[in-house]
Amino acid sequence: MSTILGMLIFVGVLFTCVMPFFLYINRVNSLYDQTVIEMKQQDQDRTLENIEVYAYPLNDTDNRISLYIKNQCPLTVEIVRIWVNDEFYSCSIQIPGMNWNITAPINVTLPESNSTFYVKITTARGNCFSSRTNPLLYTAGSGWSGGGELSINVVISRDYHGTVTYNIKVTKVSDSSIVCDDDVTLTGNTPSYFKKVDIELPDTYNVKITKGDTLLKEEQVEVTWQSPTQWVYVNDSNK
Amino acid sequence: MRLLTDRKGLTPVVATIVLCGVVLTIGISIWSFTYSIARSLEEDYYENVKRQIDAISERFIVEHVSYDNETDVLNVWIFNYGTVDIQIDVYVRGDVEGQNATAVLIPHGQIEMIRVPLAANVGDELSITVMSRRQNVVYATYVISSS
Repeated sequence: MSTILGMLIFVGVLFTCVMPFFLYINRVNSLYDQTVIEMKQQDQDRTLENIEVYAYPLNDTDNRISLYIKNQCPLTVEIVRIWVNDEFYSCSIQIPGMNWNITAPINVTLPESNSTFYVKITTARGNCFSSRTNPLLYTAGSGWSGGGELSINVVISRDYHGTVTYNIKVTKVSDSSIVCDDDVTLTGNTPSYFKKVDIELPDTYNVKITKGDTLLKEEQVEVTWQSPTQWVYVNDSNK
Repeated sequence: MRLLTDRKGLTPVVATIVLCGVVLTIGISIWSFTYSIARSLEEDYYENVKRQIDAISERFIVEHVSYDNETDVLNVWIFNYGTVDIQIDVYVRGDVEGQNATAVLIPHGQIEMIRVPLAANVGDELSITVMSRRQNVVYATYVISSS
């Protein structure tokens, strides 16, 4: 009788203490493994992030800077902060994979003398991307310049909403060869657009921006090693 | 009356009852002891694993660094993009040395500016080590600029 009782108690201990203990340990280990997998995935997603950032002033003497952000990865990226020198501006901009966005203009304090602006962004996954137009230089009297690469930076700003298509055409003056001939469609309330046209060699180039049949601006710019980046500003105020 | 006075049949019954009582007492004691030990071991094990989970869940970067020439303070912005709150210390080595080992708390998803007092000159190269209280480390470098 007591043997049976002892055996029952032993089985009871086994089923109510020992087995639940091992099951609990197994669950906790699974939680750990799941966290490891999630963190690996998060790290992989972070590594995948690839964003091109271009900071640009809205016109030659404006104190507002916008950012053209091109998401070059398949994941949706959230921009949480924009840094201009040592100040940051919090934001929450979601950019789907292989898409682009223009930020709302940021007011910066323009100095009385010359100053340099470094712009970068931070993503929610903990990546920082510097603007490819860094450093932007502001010179009192002559306005903005900057960008260290051979390029023509075209800035189109507009003061109305809706869908509109612009054509940006850059040709070499010497042989009329086409460097860029792109159509750009702005939708909704996108206030501005930035296009960086990479140049292979210093030369004089003709930049022509049209909206439909309307010529908005045509300008010849000279790209040299001394001033490798030329800015062309277009303000479209007519719908 | 005969049954009460017949002690020959009573002894095994009493012995069985006593034995069962002893087995029950010891068994229940062992059961109770094992149960409490198992619960205690479970809690300890969970706490240990939770500590490890928190440690591997930590993610933070040195997002920005600037030096204030007027106050002689190095400002280090730390962004905690992980899923747990962190406490960090900042150590600066290189041409000048300084530290802020006050275990500054940074909630997850937040950015915090850590001030490290040090007297640096333009061109000084600094190595910044940010160490969490869970022993995760992030490094950054910074060269003191003129502005």
